[in-house]
Amino acid sequence: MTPFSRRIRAIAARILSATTMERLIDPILGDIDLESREHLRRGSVWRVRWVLVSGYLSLSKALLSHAVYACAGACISDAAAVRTVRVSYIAFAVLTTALVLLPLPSDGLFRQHPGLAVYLVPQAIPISIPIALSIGIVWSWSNEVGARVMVRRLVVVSVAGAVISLATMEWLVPAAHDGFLASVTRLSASNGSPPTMHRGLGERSLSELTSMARQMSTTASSTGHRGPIGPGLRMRPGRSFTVADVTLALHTRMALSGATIALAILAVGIAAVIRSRTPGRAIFGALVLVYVASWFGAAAIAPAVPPALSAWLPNAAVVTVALGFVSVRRLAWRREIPTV
Amino acid sequence: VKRAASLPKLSAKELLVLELLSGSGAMYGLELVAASRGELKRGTVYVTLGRMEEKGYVKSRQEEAPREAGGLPRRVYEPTALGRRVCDAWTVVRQRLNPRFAR
Repeated sequence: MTPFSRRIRAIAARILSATTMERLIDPILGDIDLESREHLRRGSVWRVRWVLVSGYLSLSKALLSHAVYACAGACISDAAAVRTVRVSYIAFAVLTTALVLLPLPSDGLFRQHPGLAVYLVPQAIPISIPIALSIGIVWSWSNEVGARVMVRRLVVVSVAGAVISLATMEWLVPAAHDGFLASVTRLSASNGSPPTMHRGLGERSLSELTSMARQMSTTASSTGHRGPIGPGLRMRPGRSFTVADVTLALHTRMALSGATIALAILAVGIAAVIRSRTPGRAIFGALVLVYVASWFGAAAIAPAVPPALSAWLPNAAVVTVALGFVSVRRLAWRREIPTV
Repeated sequence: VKRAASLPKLSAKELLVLELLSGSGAMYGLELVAASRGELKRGTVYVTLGRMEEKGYVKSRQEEAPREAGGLPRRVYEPTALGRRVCDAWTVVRQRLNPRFAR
């Protein structure tokens, strides 16, 4: 085999699957090798050159045909599975949001004014998105979850989920909270005085939390801080937060947004090793439950460890497990590809 | 619709490959290209064969690597029982629909 063929084979082995290597690349390179050796034996150097040029052109044509066929085939076979993920994702997002808001009717205020519940929907979205994605993946788990097109779409869905979650926490939650408080104050106060905004950490935007943490770490002591923070922002009377509290809230929000990506990586990792439907579903479902439990565990150890560490710990653990699955698969691939 | 989708499909190139393989038993990719008299191209024959392998029409086995250092082993293709049946069925259908194709 020529050094050029060897290099092409090495590059292709990194990108393509073992089956494609076995069925497409190796036979074509083998033919080039065989033909060129035969002509070399006869002493026709120009014929060897011609075989090499036409052979590599054939290889590029074969790769192009394979890419077209693979995309078309994958699109046809994965279309149903992708549609199921998308539909179940939306359906479960709505369902989870409804479940999060379920305890509200017990509150007298919401019983009197059910329309106020709309203001609380944005708070449920960042939690419902990763839950919906997990259930959507389990629900629509098929043998094609590990296919390249499916992986790409899963990544797109998870990144979109993370972006929606971040945008919700940055703009929608504070705006909805302001709207909620304004409505409540307007309904309850008969004297017509302007509503006073008292925000907890949960109702603050990410940028507010960032500036708050920076302000607190420079001006206030880390033991506690009371009073107004930033223009127009006041905390509830009697509440105080430490820098650690604010930093933890900030990182928890960002980690919650990253949960969709972490879970998608986990699904892809499992699918790389376990292609069967039921075991794949079962293992992913079990690991999601462990992941949810790890959020409570991280909250429990939060006072003892740095806030950023405790917030990102569940995602880091899930990605590590997923990378473990992928490395197992890579080892198996290396064993499958014959060494030349 | 599901029943129609599960029917075995065969393109013109796949039928040609099956006919060539049924005639000779087992062939290499380059032999198929040569035997097809220009109908199969070097650049696409392995894509077609790979697709047919996925469909279960042909099976392949790897021969031992050549003695020359660095040589890649060749792959031999032969039709499966399903491939032979599908080829026969398509040949009959083609003959009945258009007697001009009858061989």
